[in-house]
Formats: sequence, C-alpha cells, structure tokens
Amino acid sequence: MPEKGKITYKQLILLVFTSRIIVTLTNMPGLTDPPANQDLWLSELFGLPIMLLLSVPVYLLWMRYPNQTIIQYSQVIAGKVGKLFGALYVWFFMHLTMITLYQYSAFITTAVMPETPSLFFIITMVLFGVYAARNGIEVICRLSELLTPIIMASIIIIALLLIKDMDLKALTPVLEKGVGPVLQGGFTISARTTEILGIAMLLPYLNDTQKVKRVFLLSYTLMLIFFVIITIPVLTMFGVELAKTMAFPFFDTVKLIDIGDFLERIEAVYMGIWLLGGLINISFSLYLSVLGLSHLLNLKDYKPIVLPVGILLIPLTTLSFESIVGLRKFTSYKISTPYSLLFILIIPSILLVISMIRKKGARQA
Amino acid sequence: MKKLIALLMILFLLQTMLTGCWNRRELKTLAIVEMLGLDRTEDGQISLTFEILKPAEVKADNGGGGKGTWTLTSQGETVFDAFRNATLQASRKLFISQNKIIVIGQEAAKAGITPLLDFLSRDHEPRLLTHMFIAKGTAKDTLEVEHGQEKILATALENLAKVAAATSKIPRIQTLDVMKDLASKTSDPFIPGIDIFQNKEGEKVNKTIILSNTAIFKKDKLVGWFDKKETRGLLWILGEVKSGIIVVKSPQEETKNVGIEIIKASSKIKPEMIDGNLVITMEIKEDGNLGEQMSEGVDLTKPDAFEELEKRQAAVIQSEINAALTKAQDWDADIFKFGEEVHRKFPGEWPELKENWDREFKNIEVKVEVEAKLRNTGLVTRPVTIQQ
Repeated sequence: MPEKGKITYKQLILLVFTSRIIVTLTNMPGLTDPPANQDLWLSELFGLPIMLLLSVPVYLLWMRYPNQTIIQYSQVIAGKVGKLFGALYVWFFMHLTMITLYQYSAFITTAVMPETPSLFFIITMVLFGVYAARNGIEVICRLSELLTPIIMASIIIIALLLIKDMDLKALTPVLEKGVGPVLQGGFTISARTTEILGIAMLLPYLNDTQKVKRVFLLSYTLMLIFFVIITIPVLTMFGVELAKTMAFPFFDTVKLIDIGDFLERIEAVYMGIWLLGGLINISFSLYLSVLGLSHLLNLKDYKPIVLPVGILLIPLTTLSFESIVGLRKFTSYKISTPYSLLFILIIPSILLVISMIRKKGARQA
Repeated sequence: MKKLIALLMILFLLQTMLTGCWNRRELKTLAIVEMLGLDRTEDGQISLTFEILKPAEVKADNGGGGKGTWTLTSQGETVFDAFRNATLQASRKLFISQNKIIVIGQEAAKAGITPLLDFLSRDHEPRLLTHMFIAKGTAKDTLEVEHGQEKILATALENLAKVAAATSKIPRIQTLDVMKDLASKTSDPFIPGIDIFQNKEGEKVNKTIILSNTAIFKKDKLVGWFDKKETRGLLWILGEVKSGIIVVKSPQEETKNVGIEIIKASSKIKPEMIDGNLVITMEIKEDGNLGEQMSEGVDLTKPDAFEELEKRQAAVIQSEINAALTKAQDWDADIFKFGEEVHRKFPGEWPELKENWDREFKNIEVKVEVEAKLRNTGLVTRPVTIQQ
C-alpha cells in the first residue's frame, strides 16, 4: 500500500468538514441554485438525509472492501472497466483541485490583492499542497485537527458580531415555493459535497472501523450546521436579492461588521481562516489525486509523483478555464450537479450492483 | 556538502519570492479619498469630485493650519474611467477604501443611480457602509464647501448623518440600504438631501452645508423631494423614528406652541386582502415627554390637558404619515417596503401581485392607527408665571 498512515475518525470528520465548508465560505453557490430564495437555509438542513442517502453506495462498497479505496476495488470488481472508472476518479480529483485552485486565486486577486498575478497564488498553493501531500494523510489530518476549531470559532464569532444588524424578517416567507424546490436545493447542495468521495478514499485508513457510520453522520451534521451559520448572516444582512448578485457573499458580509465605530474592517480574520481552510482543501484534493493515481498504476509509493502532478496542475489550471465566467457556468447547478452525481452516486452504484451479482467482496452486506 | 548546496539553492530561490508584496502601499504614496461626489456633465460624461486628505495638515497639534483636504475633479466616459483620469491630476494614487461619504448631484440622480453605483460595488476598495447624500445642486459645489467645526468635510457629514437622527427629519442611509432597495423588485430607495446654506455678512458670503429634505426615487431615478414633515412621516411608517420634537398648539392657548419630545416609537404594518383589494393597516405607537411649553398662562400637567396633548400629538403624527403616503403613492414609489410586507403575508398571491406592483401600490388603501402617549413633564410641572 502506498499509504501506511492511520487516522482517527475525529480527524477525518474535521478534514472533510473544513474541505467542504470553505467553498460556501468563498462563493456560496447555493444562493443561485433553486429555490434561489430565502429558504436556502432550509435546503441546507434538508441536505442531511439526502447526503446520507447519496453516501449509501459508497458505504456498502466499503462494507465489502474495508481495506481498499474506491480506485482499488473498482479494479477488483470490474477489471478493465474498473480501471477506466479508476482513471475517471483520478481525473475527477485532479479536476476538483484545478477548480478549487482557480476559484481561490480568482477570489484573492479580485477581492483582496488585484495587482498580484493569479499565477503567484496558484503556484504557492500548489507548492503547499505538494509539501502537505508528500507528508502523508496523517499530517494533513493533524493539520485540520489543529486548524478546524479555529475556523469554527471564527465563523461563530463573525456571526455573533453581526447579530445586532440582522434583519430576521428577510428570512420570511418560509417555504415560499413549497417543499419541492427546497428539497431540490438540498439535493444540489448535497451533490456539491464531493467530499463523500474523499471519505470513500480515506475509510481504509481509519484506525477504528466501528466509527464509520459516525464519520458520515457527524461530518455532514457539522457541515450543515455551519452552512446555516454562514448563510443566515448573508441572507439577513443583504436580503436574498442583493446577495444573489454578489460574487463572494460571506466576504462582503464580514466587511459589514461595525461595532461602535471601532470594531470594524475585520476582513483580516476572515482572510486568515479562509486561507487556512483553502490550503487544507487544496492539500486534501491534491492528496486524493496522487493517492488515486498511485493506486491506479499500482505504485509502491505515491510520494515521487506528488511534485510532477502538482506541477502539471499549474498549467492545467490556467488553461482549462479561460475566465471566471466560464468557471461559473461549469460550477452552476445545471452542470455541476449531474457531473458530481455521476461520480458520487452512479459509478459506485454500478460497481455495487456488479459486485453483488458476481458475489465478490470480503463481507456480504 | 549536498545539504549545504540545497540550502544555498533554497536561499537563492527565496530571494526571488521575497522581493516584497505587489500591493505594498505607503501612506505617502496614497491620496486618501474622504468623500466622493458624482455628477453627470451636460454631454453625458461622468464627473467625479474627490475630497482628498492632506495627512500633514490634519495633525492634532497643527494649530492654525490650512484646510485638511483638497478637492479634485476629473471626467470620463464611465465612473471607472473618470476615477483613473484623476491620476492625471493627483500626484498620488487615489485610495478609496477610507471613503466615508458619497454625494450624488441632483441631475445625475434624475438620470439614474444604478450605473453610478456599479463600479462602487464591483471594485474591491469601496465599502458598503458609506453614507450617501443627494446634492440639491451639483456634488462638486457641495464638496468645495468648508465646515466650521471639522477640518474635513467628510468627517462633518459623517457625524451629521449620525446626529441628525435626533430630529428624525433626515434618514440615515448607507450604500447598503440603497443597494438592497435597488435589488428588491418592489422597494424604492430614498436618500437624504444636502444643500448649501449661504449666509451673507456684508461682502463676504459664508457657505455651510445643511441636511435638508429627502430625495425619493422610483427604481433608480430621482422623482421628487420629501420635506421634513413628509420625511418624518416616512420614518414613522418604517419604525425608524428614534427621537425628535413634535410641535402642537397649546390646548387652551391656541396661538402658543408646545414641544413634545419623542422618546420611543414603533410601527407595525399588517397587509390584508379584503374583497381582492389590498388593505394595509398600520399601527404606530409613540411615547413622548412634555419638553417645553411656550404658553405662559396654562398648566398643562393636568390629566385633561395631558389627554388633549396626546390627541393633538397623535393628530400631528397622523398628518405627517398621510402627507408621506399621498406623495409616495402619487409618485408610485414604494419607499415604505409595502411590497416586501405583502410578499411575506401573501406568498401565494405574490407572483401575480408582483407583476403589477406599480398599479397595486397606487391603489392600496392604508389605514393608520396612531397611539401616542405622554409620560413625563421634565424638571418642572407648571410654568413659573402661574400662581397657585
């Protein structure tokens, strides 16, 4: 096995949490997804059962192959086709890293440092990711164990500082368009949780296999609670119509903090936690790409390919998206939902069915 | 040896990375903009006026000193263009992150403010908590006025925006409020007005700024002005009256005035659907204190006189609200956010109502219920002239 590290379930939960929350912290794509009104926070709560449902195929596959990652058992289950699936997953993780890199460099060059070339940020983020990934999953997990509580506390403090200016009326009418669109919103939000696959990749390295269910349940619950903590200030400070026009809604919300004319302009706090979370996110997805690639090619060690893959990602990132407009089109729910569902739900389900028919796997579920 | 070479190489590489930030800015290379004025010239160009800080002049111990700021006007095809063109005149790069006030000229406001605000929300430097004003004349003239108290006009205006709440005759509006109303499909914005007050002393003309009236918009276009009375009517409806003085006639001496101080006020807006027509019931609650009485002959601190005062107070509030309502409905400007209230109450019917909101708003029947109370009388009970 290329990776010999072991991680605890707490570390995995915190890693998955930070990796997912940071997207909402930056772009909050859910605002323009259906229902696209003030019920967004309800959609986020509805996300919990949907996310658990989406995780069922991955969970059942893990039951059958507890010591293998999704890329390994897809080859065991489906042979050559499985290899193709594995390659698709490696591509998916790499693509994810690219999207994240592009989004983050776009954010930082638009909102904070417009005169700095975005390539600078892409290169530094990749170098950090390469360094972290080379140190292995244990290091990435410990990093997130250390930083995630800081991120959580900062988000809560930011939300508390805004309470006096919140206009809770902006959240009404509740369920304006009925339950249907809200559920659809929950579905879109869940489909954006590509971290389900991250869990599927890391479950074999969990030191306590009894806690797998807890990983799914707790990480999703935490995620969704913090989604709501992030969303409510945005909706109540701006109102949904204005928030929809913003590229980085939560950043703009943090800029509104003004307490007694002295506690203001604390975007630096936001930038701090954003950078920490962003780096964890990049390291995580880069790590998944190289781990997947090493499993696909049956390498003994993944470390030698980390730097080449990282370097490869730099031109790929700058070439694959011409502008932020193109990226936004791709990450809009119309394209991103089916795209990630293919990887989260459809391929694992196919694998599960094949494995059931062929009666393969360590344990019969 | 190998390690040493590696270390040296890393050090060498660090050299290229650590040459400093791209966005490094020193105070002495920046022209800090305190206030921004937006106008449209006659040929459709954008004219920007900046009040720029002169840090050396505003030092606290700089006794006599000159003006703490200087103004600069630049023109361009768009706001951004004009902004960059200012660099042709200023010796330093304009830095707008500290900008406290935005003033828009009346003519520019009539042509629409959305195009003017786009740059200000798209660029990363300006903030949404900037106070906004509409100049009765041009923004340029307003920015060139000096203030008696403050060295920086922007500081004066920022403080004015805060203390003017004591009259409740001027709303306090920040860019965020305007953007919210512009983003909303039904609400229309309102922005306090600013005028130049000229005071002649012989040959010399003293110019000072004065906050007066409120600019009312339909969508993003200025349609008219609310005077002080109407503005307070608007603030009653929105529940934003914090303090202020209500002047009523003294019950037993109709020629004399009585001043009542508003202590607190609240409003409740209840939309109803009666026979397919929208009816809005407003409940305004107000608490006041007897602040002064200019009538010497009557003791107003008696139960029946007090009750009469409460009634008159309520009547004044009622008339202020009616004045605001009539004008706004006439101009078809939903500055009261009725649309949002109706949306909250009738989400089912809303899509249909929204389509014709302009017409619906004009025809809304509004019932105003005012409950005004008097609480305290101050440090004296009756005027000194009355002997008991």
